[in-house]
Amino acid sequence: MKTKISIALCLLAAMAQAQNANPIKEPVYGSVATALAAPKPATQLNLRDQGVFHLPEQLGTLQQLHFLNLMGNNLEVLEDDVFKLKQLEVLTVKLNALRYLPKSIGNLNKLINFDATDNSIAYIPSEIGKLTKLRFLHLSYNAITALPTTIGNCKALEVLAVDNNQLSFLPQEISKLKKLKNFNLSYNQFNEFDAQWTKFPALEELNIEFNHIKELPQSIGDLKSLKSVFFNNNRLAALPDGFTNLANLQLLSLANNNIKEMPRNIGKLAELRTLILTGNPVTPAEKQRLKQELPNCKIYF
Amino acid sequence: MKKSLLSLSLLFSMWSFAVVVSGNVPLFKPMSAPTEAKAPETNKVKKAANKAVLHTTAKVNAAAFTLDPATYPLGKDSQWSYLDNGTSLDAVAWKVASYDNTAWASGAAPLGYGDAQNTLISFGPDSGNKYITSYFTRDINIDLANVAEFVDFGLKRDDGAVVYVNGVEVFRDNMPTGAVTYLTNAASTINDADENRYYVHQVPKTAFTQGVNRIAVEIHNRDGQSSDLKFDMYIQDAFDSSLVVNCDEEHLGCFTSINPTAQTPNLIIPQEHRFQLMFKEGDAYTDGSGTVPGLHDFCAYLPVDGSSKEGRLAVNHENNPGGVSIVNLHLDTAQSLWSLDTSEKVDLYNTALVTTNRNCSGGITHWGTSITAEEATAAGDVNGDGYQDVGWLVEIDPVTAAVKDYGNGQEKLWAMGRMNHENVVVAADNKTCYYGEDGGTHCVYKFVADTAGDLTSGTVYVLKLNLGLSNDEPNSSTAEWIQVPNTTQADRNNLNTVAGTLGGTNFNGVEDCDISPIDGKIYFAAKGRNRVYRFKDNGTTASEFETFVGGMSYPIETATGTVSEPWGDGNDNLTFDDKGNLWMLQDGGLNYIWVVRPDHVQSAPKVLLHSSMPAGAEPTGLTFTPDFKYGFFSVQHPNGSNTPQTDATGAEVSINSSSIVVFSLAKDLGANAPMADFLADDLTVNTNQVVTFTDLSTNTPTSWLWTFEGGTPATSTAAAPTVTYATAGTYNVTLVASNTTGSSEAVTKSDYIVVEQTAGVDGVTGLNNVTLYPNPTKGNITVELNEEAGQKVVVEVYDFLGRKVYNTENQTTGAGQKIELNLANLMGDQVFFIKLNVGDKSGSYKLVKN
Repeated sequence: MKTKISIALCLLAAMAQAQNANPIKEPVYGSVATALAAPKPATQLNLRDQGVFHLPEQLGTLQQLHFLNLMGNNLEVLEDDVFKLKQLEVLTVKLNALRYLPKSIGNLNKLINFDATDNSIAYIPSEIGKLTKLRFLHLSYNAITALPTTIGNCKALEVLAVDNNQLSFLPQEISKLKKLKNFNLSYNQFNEFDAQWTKFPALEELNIEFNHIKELPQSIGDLKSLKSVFFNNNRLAALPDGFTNLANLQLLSLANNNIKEMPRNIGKLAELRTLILTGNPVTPAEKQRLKQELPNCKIYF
Repeated sequence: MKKSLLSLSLLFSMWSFAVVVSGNVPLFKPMSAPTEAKAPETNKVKKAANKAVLHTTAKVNAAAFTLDPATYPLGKDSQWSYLDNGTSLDAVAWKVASYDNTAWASGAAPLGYGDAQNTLISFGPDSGNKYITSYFTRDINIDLANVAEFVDFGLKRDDGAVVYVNGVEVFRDNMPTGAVTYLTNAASTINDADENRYYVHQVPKTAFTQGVNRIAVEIHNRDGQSSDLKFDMYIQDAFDSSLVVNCDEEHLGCFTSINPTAQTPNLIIPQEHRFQLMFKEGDAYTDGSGTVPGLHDFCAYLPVDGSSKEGRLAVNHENNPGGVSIVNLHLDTAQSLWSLDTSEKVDLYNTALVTTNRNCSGGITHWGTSITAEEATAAGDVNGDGYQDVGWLVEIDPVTAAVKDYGNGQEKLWAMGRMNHENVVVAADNKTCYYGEDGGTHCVYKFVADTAGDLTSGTVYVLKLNLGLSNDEPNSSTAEWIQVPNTTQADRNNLNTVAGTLGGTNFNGVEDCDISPIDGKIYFAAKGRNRVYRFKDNGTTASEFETFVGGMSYPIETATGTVSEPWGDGNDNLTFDDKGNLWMLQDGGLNYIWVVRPDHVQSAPKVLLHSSMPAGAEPTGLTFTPDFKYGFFSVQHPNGSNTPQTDATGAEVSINSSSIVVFSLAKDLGANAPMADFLADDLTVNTNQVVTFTDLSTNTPTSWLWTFEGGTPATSTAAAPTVTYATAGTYNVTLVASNTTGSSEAVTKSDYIVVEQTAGVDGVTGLNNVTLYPNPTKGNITVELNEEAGQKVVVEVYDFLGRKVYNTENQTTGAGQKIELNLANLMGDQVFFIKLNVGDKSGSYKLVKN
């Protein structure tokens, strides 16, 4: 077993190098000028917090870049130069003033990690579906009202963070993301929990806090890999019995809903260690029952 | 409606407590229809409840309703008796202890209505015509022997107040002058943060009497339509001399404030200080691994064996990819300059750690490691270890420049939880840590390790203020710690989200926590609230929570006068020095470094302005050497166009990219003119005895100018001159020492050399330049007669009683003009007198044999 783990870790190590800049392996340059002057073609460029409104000239000539950080600038538009960088695996445009993502984003089909958190993006083009190697997509804190149906083509996605947007529905194709492990839908405008969202066999963490969800489908129990669930600050009155099929569940936050009683067979959640029920009208008798049913769980009422 | 709901909830909680405490018999009948409760009934219930709280054995009588006298000092949030039924006490002597207030209700301050309070009081039946005056009293038992000359009354009043001690008015606040009646309105309307501030009035100790004193307060509303009213008051010694920083001795924290200024192309520091620039972005790492990245942040000085002259810096790079550099450096004591020996990156990018991101501030442990804080929580678990890759504290061993391995390989400090980490401080017990989140929940956290010196397992708590904040000021001084689950990976990955759900208070940007070496309280910077708060940790609760500094302007005493300067926004990193000065580094406002004295209070500010960062830059991550002579901080993202200035090396440096700055008193950094000092080998000598002077000046003098009053020579430029004195007396010695930088002040040691007339039979009669050595002697002595070559000399030796014990005749001095004597056979250790006769000249000399 140990051998297996170490083999897996070795494989992962090789992969890990690709998804994050490694300043020990290769230099991370701080300006286009120094990158161009480098003895070998620059692969990593960090232009964070440089206060620029436009991409620096000649950025597009750095054809070997696989890591580009543009965080904390004043970019309102992602200009074409960036889409010439076809080797890019990591692109961060966090904390700028972008209002949309251009269609050319589809050109960057080697992207593994794309972070556009903290912009004013309202529109995601369907070309995002061309990013079939994308594993980490961060679109939190934007003004997105809809994801394109092609999101379902991003089949390598492990992390999809679309929290703090204006979403009230997701395309059915979302259920094609069979590798999705971490799904953050919190602080949106969802009124319903779509049954399609129960078709993520790899999903380990689901965060839908601060929405307006009133009920959950029985099939939520199909999310067999789930370890952490955040349903706090919704309008749930009860959980379906199917919920107790979440055999790997460790952390469940249901604070500030309208739950009086938990499912009868709640004791099936043998791995549950943390249950948060503060701000719910749970009766004293139910509290007593929950403590007995879940002896290994720390319960907050 | 809101009010009645509050009253009811209070009623029920008090009721249940009353029953529990009294044990068997309820103090009053349960109310069959709580919805019928009216304000007066509510007060009655509260009286009973308070009685139960205060007395372990309940007595059901009217007298039991009064509060026992408090013991001086009286803290915030104390219990007060109050009268809130609209009765005017204008014609009643209610302010003295003889007044029977046993019918009054009582409750914990703050008392009032309309805002958060511990005790809701009544404004009467008509919200459009509220009672103008509410009355409060508290008896305090005072032992005058243990009270300072002046006493602080810290008054929170919304809107106006008149305060009495034993019936005598001691001050009024926001009230008109002249007679005050029940219907007198407050002078002005109190709004916003002022509703929660404490206004401090000093009252002389003589206002009190020995024993029980009655403190009486009338709170006046601005008018009958006011939405709120609030009262609290603390009473304590006005002055705690133990907190005062004594600047008679030189200290890094004793300096003259700079003049307030917008940022300039230069770093501006106090006239008493110097700085040295080092470890700049773009410099080459000495291990050949490339160049130093930018965005320097936290900068930890980690001493080697406790040394203030040899250590390592751990420098964060708040970047993506983030990183930490380790810099070995030492103080070149000959030059008084820091010298960088080696530099390298920490490997935070291997399989176990995956990456690091936005390494912001951090902390230093007492076991010699540093901790870097990842201020980023983008999800992603690349190595599949079950922990998200970023959003953790990471402990680094500076010796190996590697992440600490506690036996499971390199790992981040998972048990402390994932969040937008900003910093951490480790308490002296090596177990308790305080840290905050900048972003996400914006909460203050506490971690208590299971094992001292090992942060890989322990319990996490989040701070919840009991009454929250209003306009950035706390509504009360008390808080509780809520335990946050952290046993599973799910718990740890989501620790901040859970903590927020469990009610942790949002402080809007917790940038740094630190512990005062003076009062042991925890101080933390809340950037979005422009304040540094402090509190006392009591384990499961916290108390004395208050604004320490911020949210207002302060008088700054500069070399050219006192000016008012706003604290501004962006208070960020905090560091205490050994005197308890709080150094605050500002990311915002004018990007100053401020220093706040430990005896600072908002009503009597003690705030200094240390430095102004060069344009475009913020200061980050200040730490000190263990002797507090040197401070290291980062200058983050200065403008590329900043202009040259001279640093302590004497070189012209431009702070135009992220760098480390070390600063100190001018005398401790860079070339300085000597500070003159010297020593003589003998301070009490005989006439004509040779005195040898030794130079003790600092900063490597290269030339000297000595002045020897009464000596021969009278001046000298030698490093170690020898001098004789011909005449008995006391004489001054003066030295000016110089080097290429300049000359010292002239140092004069007054009456330094005492020259005694050679005691003896008949003193000196014409013999010059005679020396005897060694003196004292074991027996052998040499007599030198430098002016009497070739002459015959008679030597006589007398003991203490004047008896001649030895003599030689017709000695010749020879070419060396020396006579060797051996007195070893003479009895005992004593003083002898040697008389020399040369022709018609003679002289006597004291000799000590031992």
